[in-house]
Amino acid sequence: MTNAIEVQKLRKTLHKFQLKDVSFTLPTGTIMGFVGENGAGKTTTIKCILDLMKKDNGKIKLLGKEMNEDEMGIKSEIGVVFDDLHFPQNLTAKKISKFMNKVFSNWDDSYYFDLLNKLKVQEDKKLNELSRGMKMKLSIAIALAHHPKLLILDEPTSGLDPIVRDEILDIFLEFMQDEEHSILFSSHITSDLEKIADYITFIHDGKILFCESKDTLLYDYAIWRGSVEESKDLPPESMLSVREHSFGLEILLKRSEVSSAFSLEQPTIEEIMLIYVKGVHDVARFVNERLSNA
Amino acid sequence: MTLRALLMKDFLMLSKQIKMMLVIFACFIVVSLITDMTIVLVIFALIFSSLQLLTAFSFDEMSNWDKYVNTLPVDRKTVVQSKYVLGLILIVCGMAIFTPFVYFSDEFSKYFTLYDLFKAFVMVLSVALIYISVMIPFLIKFGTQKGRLIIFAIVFIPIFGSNFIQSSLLDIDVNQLMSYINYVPIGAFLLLLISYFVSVKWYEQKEF
Repeated sequence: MTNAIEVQKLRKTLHKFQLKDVSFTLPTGTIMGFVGENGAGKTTTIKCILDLMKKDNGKIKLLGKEMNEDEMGIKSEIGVVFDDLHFPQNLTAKKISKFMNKVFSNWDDSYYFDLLNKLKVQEDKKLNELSRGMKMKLSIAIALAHHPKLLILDEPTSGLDPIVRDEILDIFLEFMQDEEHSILFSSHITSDLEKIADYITFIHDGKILFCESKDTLLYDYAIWRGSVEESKDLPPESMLSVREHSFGLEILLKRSEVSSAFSLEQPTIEEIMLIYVKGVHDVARFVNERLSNA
Repeated sequence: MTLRALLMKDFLMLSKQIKMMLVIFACFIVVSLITDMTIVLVIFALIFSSLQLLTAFSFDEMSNWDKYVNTLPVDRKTVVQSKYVLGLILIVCGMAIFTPFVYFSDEFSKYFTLYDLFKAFVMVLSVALIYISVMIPFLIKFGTQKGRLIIFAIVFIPIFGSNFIQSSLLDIDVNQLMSYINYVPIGAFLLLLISYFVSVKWYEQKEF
């Protein structure tokens, strides 16, 4: 199987922030959700992938090639959507198509206008007269109209209402009908990723915490809730992270390593993210300390 | 092809500004014909065309255009080229609109020959080239806010320093100074080349 994106040991230092050996792969034909809180390094990673920022170290391959091997070739096969539409505000969707027609040799005007029609984006309105939802839908139509193989999306659904988000996710699923197509989808709206992603890569403080298939995360991980004393019975090697609440402990663990006698809940990606970020990772020591204090 | 695309986008973006500029030009032409001061038009042409170039940079900056355009199959060099070509087109158009009015005005036919007009045209063009050669690299490197201040500083330092220049130039023959004037266009052209290479270098280093 080929990979649409391969990132190996990517390093980048910016003022007070660092990407620390970020590595992940996006297999062709899949959607990867790239999650993390604001400032975790999602956008910096994407900018390095797109060569908008120069990496300090590491290797990045897009569609099997490094950027310096064939920059124009790679860029003509990817579509990019940022969290805002970065065209001058006094242009219209129609004028944008005139421009893009000259930039991409395989720009498909009829597909573009079909998409606009389907998404109900007015083609003669200036961008500054369009709502945020309309702008994002236009942005996606622009990214798709040259039939790219890879979509790179940086927070395309943030700040949008559920209806628009649903419409947008449908378009992405339609795009994925072709098995040569792949999507890297950065977002902190984890419910969107639950709907469409095949893999979840979680970045926190410039480091990748995990890169797993969504099904593994949702079915192999579990959450246990209870008091400190009760937690003693859990096998220590099963526990990944613990978070303390007023009601007791919330522990993220591997379902297969815990007896089915315990009552476990299926986590959401959001819960996994919260327990990882806000929690303590050395769970056994944490529990022992709590017990000796008590 | 992509250069043409970028220019097209700039002109689409500036179309409203340019239309407004043409209306103002028409007013100036009428006023200058009445007052018989058509030569002033040439200076207006320069100021307005350089303002349009600055506006193009501001619009790009406001919409964060550079971040987007560099995800497209467009060479960074081409993005820089497009701004120089835009500047040149604006200047040449500005002068092309006004030169006929200067030529056919009374003021001109009374005092100047066609050769004088040509010389003046070349001089004004040189000044314009020098201006965009200074302007574009700084706008690229520092953005329109800081870049504008730096350009003002560069333009105004000689004015503040004019006192010094005047006193030190007193013993220089003005005619001798004027004899160098034919080199100004060559200097301007060289400066434009240097400026272009500096801009490309700065733009290629830029992160968005």
